[in-house]
Amino acid sequence: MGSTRAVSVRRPLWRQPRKWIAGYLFAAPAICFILVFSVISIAISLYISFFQYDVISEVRPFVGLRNYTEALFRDDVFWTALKNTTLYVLSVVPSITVVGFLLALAGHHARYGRSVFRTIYFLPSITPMVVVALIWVWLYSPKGMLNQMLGVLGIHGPNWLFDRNLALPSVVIMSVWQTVGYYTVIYLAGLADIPQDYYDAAKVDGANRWQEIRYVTIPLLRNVNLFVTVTLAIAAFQVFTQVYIMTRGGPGNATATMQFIIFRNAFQYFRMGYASAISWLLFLVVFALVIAQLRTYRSEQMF
Amino acid sequence: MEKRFSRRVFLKLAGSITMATAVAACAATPAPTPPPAGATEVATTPAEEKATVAPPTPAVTAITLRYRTWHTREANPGDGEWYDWLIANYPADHPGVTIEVEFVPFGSEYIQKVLADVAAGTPPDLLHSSIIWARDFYDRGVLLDLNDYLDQVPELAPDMFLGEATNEYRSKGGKYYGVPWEGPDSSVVALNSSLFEEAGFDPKGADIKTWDDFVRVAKALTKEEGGEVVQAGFLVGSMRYIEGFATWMYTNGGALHDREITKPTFNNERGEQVVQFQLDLLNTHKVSFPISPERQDSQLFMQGKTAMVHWGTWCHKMIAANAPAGFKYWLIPFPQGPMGERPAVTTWSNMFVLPKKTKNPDAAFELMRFCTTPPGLLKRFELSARTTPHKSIFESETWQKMVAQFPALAQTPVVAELGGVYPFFPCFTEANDAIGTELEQVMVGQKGVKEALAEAERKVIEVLERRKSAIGA
Repeated sequence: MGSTRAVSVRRPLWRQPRKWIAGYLFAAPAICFILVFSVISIAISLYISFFQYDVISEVRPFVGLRNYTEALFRDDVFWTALKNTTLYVLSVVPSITVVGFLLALAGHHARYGRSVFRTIYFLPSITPMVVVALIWVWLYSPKGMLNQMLGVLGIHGPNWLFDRNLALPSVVIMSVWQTVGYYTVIYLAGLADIPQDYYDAAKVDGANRWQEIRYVTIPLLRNVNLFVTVTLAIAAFQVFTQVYIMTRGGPGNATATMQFIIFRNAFQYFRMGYASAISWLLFLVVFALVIAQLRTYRSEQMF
Repeated sequence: MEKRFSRRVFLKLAGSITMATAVAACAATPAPTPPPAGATEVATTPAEEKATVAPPTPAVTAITLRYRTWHTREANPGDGEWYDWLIANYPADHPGVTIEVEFVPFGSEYIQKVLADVAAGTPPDLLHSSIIWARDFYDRGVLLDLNDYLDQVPELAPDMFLGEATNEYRSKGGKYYGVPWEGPDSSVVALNSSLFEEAGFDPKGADIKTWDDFVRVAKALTKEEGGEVVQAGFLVGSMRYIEGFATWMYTNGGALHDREITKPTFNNERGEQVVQFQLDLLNTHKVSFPISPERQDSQLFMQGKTAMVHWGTWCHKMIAANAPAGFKYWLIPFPQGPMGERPAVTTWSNMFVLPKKTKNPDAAFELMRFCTTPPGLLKRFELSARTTPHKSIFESETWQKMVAQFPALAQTPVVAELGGVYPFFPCFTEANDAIGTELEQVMVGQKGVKEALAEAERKVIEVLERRKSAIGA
C-alpha cells in the first residue's frame, strides 16, 4: 500500500515550479527595482566613466582611462575633496562612536526617564538633514545664537562657515549632533543584549565600574562596534547634503567633499563620464576601508 | 462540488496581478491614433459631445503648449498676473490652444530638467532660457534656429531691440536661437535714498562717480556699535559668482573675456585692482557685514540695514511687495575705477528659445511672437513691471505710467547704455566656479590676489579647451 509513491524518485526543486514560483513573483518587483536602479545603473556608470558624456551631445567619444588620470594627476580639486572627506570621516566616525557609546551607557543605567532620554537623542536623527542644516546655518551666522552665547562669555565669535579653518569642523559638529542619536539607540540595543551574569561575575572578581566597561562591555559590543564603524564610515564618505546646504563646498573648496564634487561635475558641469570616474575612485577608497575594518574586527570568537 | 481557493492559488494570483500591474505601469503611453488623411482634430467640449446634432464647428487643432520658466508666481506676484492673463486670453485669438505654465527653479535644476526632457524627446514647447545656458544649448544641438521664423516678423528684427549686446547674446554666426524676454537687465547699485538724505548725500547717488567717492560715501553711511557694523554702507560679496567681478572689471576698463569668448582677460592689473578693492572694502574700510551663507542682501537692503547693495533693474515689484511703505530707493551704475573711463554695469537679456524636439514648433513660435511683441509684450510689462529690450516698451504710454509708479524704473534704459555683456562663458557654471572658488579663497585670506587670478585663468582656459574639443565650437 502506497508502494508506488514510496519508490518514486524525488524530483529536483527546479522542476517543481509550484514550490517557488509564487515567492519569485512576489520578489520580482523588488528585484526589478534593484536591477534597474542599482545593478544596471552601477554598470552603466562604469561604462560611461570611459567616455566623455554630457547627456545630450551626440558626440560621446571614448576616452579610455583619461577621466581617471585627470582626476588622479591633474585635478587638484579631486585631491582637496579627498582630503576634506578623509578629515570628515576621521572626525565624524570616532566622535559619533565615542559619544554614542557614552550616551548609551548613561541612558542604559538611567533609572528614570529612559524613554524620554532615547526620544530626545533620537529626535535629530528623524529630522531631515536639509532642515537641520538650514537651522545650523542660522546658528552659525556671525550674529547667530552660537556667537551670541560666546558673546555672553566675552568671546568674539568667529565667522564659522566663511572661515577656511572653521568651515569643515562646523559641518562636522552639526553632523555629529544630527547623527549621534541613531547610533546611541544601536548601542543601547547592544547593551541590553549583554547578559547581567557577566557583570555579576565581574563584580565577584572584584572589578570596578571602569573594569566592567573595559573587560565586559566593550568586548561584548564588538559586533555592534563593527556595524557602527562600518556603516558610519560608508555614510561619512558619502557626506553631501549638509555641505550642499551649508557651504556649497566653500569658502573656496574648503568643504568640498567627494560626493559634492561628483554632484557638481555630473549635474552642474554635465561631465557625467568624469563624475562616474570619480565615483568609482571613491568606491575603491570606501571598499578598501571596509575591508580594512573587517580585518581589524575579524575574530573567531563571536559574541 | 466544493472548490477551494487555496493559499497557493491566492499567492499565484496575487503575484500575477502584481507583475501585470508593474508591466502595465512601465509600458509606454500609446501614441494617439493619427486622424485619417484630410481630417482635422476638432476641439470639443463635453457639451458638444453630448449634442445629438453637432453644430458646424470651425476646424481648429487642439494643442497644449508647455511654457517653462523659473519666474514663479510667488517671487513676483506680477508674473502670476501675467500667466493668468495669458492663459485666459491667448485662446481667444488662437482657438484650440491651451497653455500650461511649468515652473522649475533657476540654476542647475533647470538645466537638468531641460536636458532630461530633451534626451527623453519631451521638451517644453516654449522655454525661458538664461543667456548663460542658451549658447551651450544651441551648440549642443538642443535649440531651433529661428531665422526663418524671424524673417517673417518685422517687429522682431534685430534693430527693434535696445543695444547691440542684446543681439550678441542670442545669436551665433548670424543664426538667431532666441528672442529677448527680459531686460535689458543690469546689475546696479541700489541705494536707500532716505539714508543718503539723512547723511547729507544726494538721494539719487550723484555724489558717487568713482571708486574713491564710493568708499567715502559707504564709510560715511556705515554705523558701528561695540566694534560691530550695525548699518552697512555696502554689502561686499564673496565673489563666488562672477557677475559682480565682471561688473567691477567693466568699471575699471577691463572685461572677463574677449569678445569672441575664446580666452579669459582678467588676469592683469585691472583684475588685481578689482579684487583688492573688494578686500579693502571688507577688511580695511569695514563698510560691510561679514560675508556668510545665510546673509540675504536684498532683505537687508529693504529693512534699511544697508545703504547700498548690488542688485538689479528688475527689483521694483519685489521692493513694492516687501519693503515698508514709503521706502525710497534709486539705482545707479557701479562707479568708475582708477583704470576705467566711466561708470559701468553688466547688462543682459534672458530669452525665449524653442527646443528642436518640440512637437509644435509653429504654434510655439506663434506663442513666442505673441509674448515678445506688442500688445502682449506691453500687457506683460503692465502686469509684472518686467521689461524686455524691445523698443516699443520704452516708447509706450504704459512705460510712462509705470515710471510714475516706480520712478527708479527710468534708470533701466539709462544704465543699459553703460552695459558690458554678461560674462556668458561656455560651460558657464564650470567657468564660474573656476573663477569664483579662487576669488573666494582670496576673500578668506587663503590665497594672494595674483596667485588666485593666475590659477583662475589657467582653469578657465582648461574649461574652454575641453569644451572646444568636445563640441568643436
